[in-house]
Amino acid sequence: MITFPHGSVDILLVEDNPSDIELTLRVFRKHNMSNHVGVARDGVEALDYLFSRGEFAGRNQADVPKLILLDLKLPRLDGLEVLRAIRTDPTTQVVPVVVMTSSREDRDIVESYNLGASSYIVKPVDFDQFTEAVRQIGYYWLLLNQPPSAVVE
Amino acid sequence: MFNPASTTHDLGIGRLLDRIRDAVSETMHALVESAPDAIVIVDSDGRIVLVNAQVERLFGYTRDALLGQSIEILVPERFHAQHRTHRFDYFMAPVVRAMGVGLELHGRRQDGSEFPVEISLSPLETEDGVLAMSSIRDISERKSAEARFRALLEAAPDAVVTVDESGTIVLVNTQALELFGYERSELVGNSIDLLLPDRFQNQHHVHRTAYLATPRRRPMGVGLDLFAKRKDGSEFPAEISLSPLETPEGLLVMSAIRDITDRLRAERALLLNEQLEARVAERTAQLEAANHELEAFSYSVSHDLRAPLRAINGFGQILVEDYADAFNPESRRYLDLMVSNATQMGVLIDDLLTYARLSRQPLQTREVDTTALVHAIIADLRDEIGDRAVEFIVQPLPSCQADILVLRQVFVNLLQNAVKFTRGRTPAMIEVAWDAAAAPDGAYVVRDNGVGFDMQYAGKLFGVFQRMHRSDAFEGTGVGLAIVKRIVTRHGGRVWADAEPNVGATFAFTLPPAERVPDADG
Repeated sequence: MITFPHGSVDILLVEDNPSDIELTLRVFRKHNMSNHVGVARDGVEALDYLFSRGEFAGRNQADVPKLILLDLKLPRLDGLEVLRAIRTDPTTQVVPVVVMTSSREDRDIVESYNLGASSYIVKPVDFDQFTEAVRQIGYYWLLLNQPPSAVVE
Repeated sequence: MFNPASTTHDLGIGRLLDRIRDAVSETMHALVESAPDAIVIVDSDGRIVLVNAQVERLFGYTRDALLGQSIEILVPERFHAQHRTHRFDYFMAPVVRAMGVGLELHGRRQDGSEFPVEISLSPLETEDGVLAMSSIRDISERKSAEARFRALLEAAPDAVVTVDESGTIVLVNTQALELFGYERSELVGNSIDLLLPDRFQNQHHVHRTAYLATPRRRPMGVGLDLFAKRKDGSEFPAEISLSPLETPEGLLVMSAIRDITDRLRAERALLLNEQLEARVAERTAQLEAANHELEAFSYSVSHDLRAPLRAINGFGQILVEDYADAFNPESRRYLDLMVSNATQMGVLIDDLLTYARLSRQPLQTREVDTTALVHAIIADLRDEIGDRAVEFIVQPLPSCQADILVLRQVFVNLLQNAVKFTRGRTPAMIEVAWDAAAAPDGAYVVRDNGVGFDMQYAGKLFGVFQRMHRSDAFEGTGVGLAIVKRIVTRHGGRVWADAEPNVGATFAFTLPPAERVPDADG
C-alpha cells in the first residue's frame, strides 16, 4: 500500500502513523494533487532519502521534492531534528517544509519556526477539516507557490 | 616621746646594744644592714633596739631617732592599741610568721604620711630574752597595681571570676556578682563549685586538675561551654574563657563567663529556620517535579490521543463516501454515532487540556478594560449565534487587574453558556453587569433568561464533567464552568451562581483588588 517511488517525488510525506498516512494519501489522490508522493516512516529514512544515503545511495541529491510534509513525533529521529538537518544542508535548505502535527503546544510551534519551518498546521481531528487542510496545503504549495528556481531538475 | 639623748635611757640602751652586739654576730649585723627590706628588731617591751638603713629610708627617721623608741612610733595612731595587743600575743608564743595575714597593715612615716606594708616576724633568742625581728616591706606599688587590676576587672564587659590552684575564689568583679546574684563576701574565699550545678562538679574538678598541669590561655568559643548555677539555684548555659596568671603567691586562673542563653536560643531559631527552608525547598522541588510530569502528560495526551480519533473520524467518513450504497439507514446511524462520539472525545480532550494548562500556567496580570473585552467577545459570538434573536446588554464595567487571556476565557465560557441555554427564548436576554452589593468589593455578573437549573444541584455546578442538563437536551462536556472556577480562583476570587428553572441563571465572580492578586508577575 505504501511505496517509495524510485524516481522523483513532488511531495515527501514524513509520517509514522499508518492511519494518518492513508488519510493524507487519499486526499492527495482524490483531489489530483500528485501521483508522485514519497513516504518516509521516520526521520532517519527521510534524511537518508534527501541526502542520498543508505538504501537511497546513488539517488540524484539535487532532485529535491517540491514540498515536505513533516510530522513532529517520529521514532528514531524526531521531526525537529529532521527540520534542523533539512535547513542546514544547502541543497534542501530552500524546500518548503510544512509541519503537520497533532501538537498544539507553544514550544513546538515556536521551535519549528525558529528552525525554519515554512508553515505549521495542527492536524484536525474532524475528517472534513482534515481533508480541507491537506487540500489547501497541496494547492498552495504545489500550484500557487513559486518554488525556488535554484533547484535544478 | 622619749628623748634618746637622756642619760638613763642612754645607759640602758647602750647596755642593750652591747648585749645585742654580742648576741648578734658580725655576719648577722652585716646581713641585717644589707638586707633589701627594712628590718626592725624590738625587745619584749616593744622597744626598738636595732634598725637598718632601709628603715631610715622607708620611714624618714635617722637611726638614732628610732633606737629606744616604742615600735608604735612607726604605726598609725589608730592602730596602736591593736598593735600592742598583737605584740603581747606574739611574745607569748613567738614563731616565724607573716604578720596579720588578711589585715591591712600600714606604716607611718616621720612626716605623718601612711603607706601599706607587709610584715614578717622571726624570734631571736638571746641571753636577755626573746627579741622579735621584723622585716617590713612597702607594698604601695603592689597595692596600687592590685587596685589597677581590680579596676580593669570591674571595667571588663564580662563576669570575671579568679580562683587559685585549689579552686578557691579569690577575686570577682561586679558583673560576676550580678550574673550569679551573690554578694562579694559570699563568694570570695569559697570554692568555685558554688557556681556549678552539683552534677558537673566532679567533671569540673577533673578539668581543673588537667588545666593546672598545662595552663594556657583559652579564649571563648573553643567549645568550653557548660552550665552555671546562680545563687537562687537556677542554671544557665555559659561560655567561658581561661587565662592563667602567675603571681608571687602562686598560679591564679582568671575566667570570663558569659551567659549564652540568648545566643543559643537565636542559634536554635536559625537552625529551625534553615530546616524549614530546606523543607520548603524540597516541597517546591517536588511541586515543580509534579508540574513537569503534568506538562509531559499533557503533551503526550495532546499528541497521542488525537491521532486515533482522527482515524476513527476519517475512516468513518471514507466508509460513507466510498460505500454509501452498502449502508441502510440503521447501519448508517450506527456509523454516525461512532463518528460523533469520536468528535465529542476530541472536544473533551481539548477542554481537559485547557483546564490542565490553566492550572499551571503563570498568570501575567495587568489592568484590563473589562467593558471592551466583553464587547469584543460578544462580537465574536455573533457568528455562532447566527440569526437567533439574542439581545446583549453590557452595563458599565470597572476595569480590573487580571491576565487578559484567561479572563477572556471566563467571559467566553459564561457567555457561551448563556447563549446555549437561552435557546428557545425569544428574545434571549443576556446581561453583563457590575453588582457592587453582590460581594464586599463587588462582583461581575452574567445574567440570562434561559432554562436555568435546579439550585438543589448547584454544588456540583463547577465540578469537572458535572452537568446540569442531559446531553441530548444541551451539548457540552461539563468542563466549561470548571475552567471558569479554576481561573477565578487562581486570581484570588470567588465564583458562584443563582438560578431558577425556566426563569434564568445568574453567574457572578469576584476579582480581588489590584494589590492582592496572587501569581502576578513582577
